[in-house]
Amino acid sequence: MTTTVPTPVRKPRSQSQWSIVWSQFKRNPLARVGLGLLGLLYLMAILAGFLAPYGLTEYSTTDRISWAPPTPIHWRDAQGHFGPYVNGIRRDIDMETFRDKYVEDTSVTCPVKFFQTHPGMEGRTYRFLGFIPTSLKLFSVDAPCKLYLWGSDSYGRDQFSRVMYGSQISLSIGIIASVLTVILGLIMGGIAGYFRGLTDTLIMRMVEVLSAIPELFLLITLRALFPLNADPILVFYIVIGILAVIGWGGLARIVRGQILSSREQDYVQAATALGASDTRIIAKHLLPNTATYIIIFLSLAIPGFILSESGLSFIGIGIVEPYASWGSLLKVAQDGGFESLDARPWTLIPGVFIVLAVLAWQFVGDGLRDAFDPRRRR
Amino acid sequence: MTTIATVAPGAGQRVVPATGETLLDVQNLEKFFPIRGGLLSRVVGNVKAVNDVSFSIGRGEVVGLVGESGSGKTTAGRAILRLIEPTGGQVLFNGTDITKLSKGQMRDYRREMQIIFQDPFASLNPRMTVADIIGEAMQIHNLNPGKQRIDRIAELLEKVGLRPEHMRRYPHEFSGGQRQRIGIARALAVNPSFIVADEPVSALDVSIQAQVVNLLQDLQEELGLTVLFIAHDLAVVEYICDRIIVMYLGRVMEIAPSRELNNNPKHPYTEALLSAAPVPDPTVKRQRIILEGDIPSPINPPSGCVFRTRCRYAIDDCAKIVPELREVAPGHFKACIRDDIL
Amino acid sequence: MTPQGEVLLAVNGLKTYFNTDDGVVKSVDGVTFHINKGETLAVVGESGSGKSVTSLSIMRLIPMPPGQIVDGEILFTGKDGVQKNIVKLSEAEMRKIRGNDISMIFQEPMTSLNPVYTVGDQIAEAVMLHQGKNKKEAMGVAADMLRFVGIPAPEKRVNEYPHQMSGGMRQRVMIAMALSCNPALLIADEPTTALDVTIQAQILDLMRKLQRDIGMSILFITHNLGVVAEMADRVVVMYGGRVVEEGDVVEIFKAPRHPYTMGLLNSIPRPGEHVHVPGQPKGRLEAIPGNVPNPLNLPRGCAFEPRCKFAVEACREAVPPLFDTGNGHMARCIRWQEFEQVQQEVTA
Repeated sequence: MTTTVPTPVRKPRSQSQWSIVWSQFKRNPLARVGLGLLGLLYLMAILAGFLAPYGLTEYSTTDRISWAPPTPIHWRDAQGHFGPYVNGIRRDIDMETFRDKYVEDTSVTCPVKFFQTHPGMEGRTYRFLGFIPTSLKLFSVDAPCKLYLWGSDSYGRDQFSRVMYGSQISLSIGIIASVLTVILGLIMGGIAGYFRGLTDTLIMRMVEVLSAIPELFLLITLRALFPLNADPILVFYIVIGILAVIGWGGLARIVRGQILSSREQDYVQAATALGASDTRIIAKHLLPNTATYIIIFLSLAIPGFILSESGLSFIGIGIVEPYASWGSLLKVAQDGGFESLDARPWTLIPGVFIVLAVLAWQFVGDGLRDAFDPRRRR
Repeated sequence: MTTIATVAPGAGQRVVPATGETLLDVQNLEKFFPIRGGLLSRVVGNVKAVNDVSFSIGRGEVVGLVGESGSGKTTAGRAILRLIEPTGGQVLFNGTDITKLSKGQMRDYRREMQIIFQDPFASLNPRMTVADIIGEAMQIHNLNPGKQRIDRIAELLEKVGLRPEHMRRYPHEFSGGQRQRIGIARALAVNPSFIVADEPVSALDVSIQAQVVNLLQDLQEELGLTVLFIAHDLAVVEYICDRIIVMYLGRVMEIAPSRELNNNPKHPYTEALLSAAPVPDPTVKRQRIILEGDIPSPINPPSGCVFRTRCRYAIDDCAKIVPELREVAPGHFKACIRDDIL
Repeated sequence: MTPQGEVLLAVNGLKTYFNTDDGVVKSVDGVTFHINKGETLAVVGESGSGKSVTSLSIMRLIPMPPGQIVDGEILFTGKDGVQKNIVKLSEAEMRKIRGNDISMIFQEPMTSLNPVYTVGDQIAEAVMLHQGKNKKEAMGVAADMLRFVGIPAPEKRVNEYPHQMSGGMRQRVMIAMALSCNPALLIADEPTTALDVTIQAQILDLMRKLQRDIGMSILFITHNLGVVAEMADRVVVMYGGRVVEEGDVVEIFKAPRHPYTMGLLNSIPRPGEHVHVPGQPKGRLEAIPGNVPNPLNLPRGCAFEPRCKFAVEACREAVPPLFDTGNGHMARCIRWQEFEQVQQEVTA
């Protein structure tokens, strides 16, 4: 039915497409929540060194406290002084199960200190915003006390600190891999769509071949190609890069389709008629039209890559010790099977972050898709 | 081939305007779109969108190009500007065959030849402001640099009946008629001498069409433009054009001065086209020639005369002879083998 | 000329509004007209005039939300002879009317036909639904209908799919489908706008012939004044969601009483008239200045006032009523009598 319901003529206000999209986006409550959450998560990753009281791999070789539960924080001591403090931890043996258990040693109290630097402690030094070397911490406690906000792992490392540091890898991996995919997809799809003919045929056949390769098998094989002593972070980025190299096909197909259809648009013909060069037409008239799709693609691909990373780390071909990502931290929860989940539920906290980050990205992605789609405008 | 005296095909077959100097000379223009099929995408056939089309336009002349869907009028208009690469024939602009030019050489000619589109929504990039849209041509050709450019854009906007402050707005803020004015301003930005107007009013509301037709007429007279005005019916075209070319299924059927074509059509298709147009006068009840059937597929056009399947005057020879375009009266050309009709 | 016969459909004070983000769009704002039995009424208007929304309101095909019929009645006398108010009918009752008592054909025949069924199946479906025929009988009716609308080799064509047909053929199929249950009213919403001139002539010719044979009423919605002159008995001119003029087709074309109608008639090039004569200055079309009004932001007074060369202060103050200028001719203009005088002077 082509008889249409009248589309209201918009009030005369000079809005670019972006400002319309933004005002549409803002009206979507879920998208707003998602964006806020993402802001918090990425702020956390940027400030990880400052938020984490301990270094990434910091643990005591002499006084190792494995699987400590979250340290209780007390607000009023016996003397009536106000202020957060923690008690020392003493290891006991549970005489029924013969397992280690930790009890609070009320004879030792250490106040929680805010904005303390820790000179001389290598592990706690980090570069603030990537530039300024410092060991300033939001909060910390002095030895001999330990502040395990979310418990410790088997080496006695602070899980809170590791989740903070892990967010840097988990959250950046999605962006890096998606951007890489987009760049490859744009270039290949753009070339195929604009030049058509043999180039197009070759690129599209390549896409089909790539999409037929079993991904997990390829990844495991590729991971095995690298020597064991290679830097695990480097190796992991290479693996992610390979994920992107396999993954650009779908996007390239869509970009090609969009370029093919928009190069027939009258305004592209108009630019040709004005004498615009190929580069100008691609850059000014064709690619901006794929921008909408690219943005939506990015925001929906990023959570996918976050999940891939978690999955790979979980099965042991992703981030490995001593580095941490949310996926590799979650792997820790697996040690000891169900019993450990029962006894140490806090080890699941990294999983909560994965879920939050993925949900937030998807809310934002859905919000963007709706905001760009004129049919869904409110 | 034909038994009737015809003008020899090729270079000699010039259909020149009655008076004045020729600006555009289209000779045997041809655009075939290949149809690919099979596993190896071999060419299995051709859509003969424009087939052996020849005509010329004098400087300052307004010529109408009329045809129904599938007639190839739009393809012809775009092939002349090389927005679609013609597969055969020549387009002489000021004596230069532009089909032979390289992309770079063609760029200089693009300043001379511009186009106005039918769809005022698809023809403006929604992501660019009006100033960007009109200024793009000047940017490409390095015209009116710096402050002058804004002045020139403002001047162009006023010329097409818009206000200079409109330049900061985006296309979606304008109505169809206003967008069409922006499209006209863009075409004028490079001071062209020749404009292809591809159904510039067909998509507009009735009360707006006359505004745009009048604007085009004013600009044509003021700037001495040469215009190829493409349309699907004769009503607007016979009003503003000096001469009219009628196309059907990729071929030229008839060329004549507007008045001559209207009063004295020589080709059966033109006769039917004139008769088919509804007249906005309820008191006029006339006998209408209703053409039977549909326009045949351009993949498989009828042999001989492409119109013969719907022609009420068709004879056996029409299936055998491809009629040449020949002059039947001064400045009046038709592609029909029968002289005993009309 | 106008058969002052029985009223088939009467639209009274119809108001159809759309709630949008930017405010309420009063697409149809108090529209009143009627169609007699066997008559062709043309509703003329440009984009945003409310002509299509009026027809969709009669079919109750307004998407709700955002649309809503807020006021008015649509009285229709169906084949059973009972007068019903369409606005008040339940959806189930409405389904019995659609396709059976009132049919509709649209501008774009391709999108109105389902591409996955043969045209025979699609015509037969309506016949089976409304006339309780079995599949075999219904397919027979379908073939008869195709022959009726002038499709050659109908027995073969019933088994074809829409994409195998040309635009003109598809519009014939649409008409066949619409007429398969002998409707009392056919709503034709720009049925020839997407077609070529020579095909348009075929379809208009067919519609005239069918109306003579069946005797149905046609509500013909169009923006093309040439088509109106050919098809209509009476004409309703709409502008900005309201009827601005109504009357017999000859009256409307020969003695318009509303400046918008006059402007429209003056602004269209007439085939065969004003043909350019070589050596003489070219003629000018008399254009209506300004733009089609924004339905969100209609003037307080007469909607046409900002573009009207006859506008006076009083036009800005209130929406003028529809004046009866005699002979069933109505005009929504406070200066209609002056136009009448001028015309009488000219003819005298």
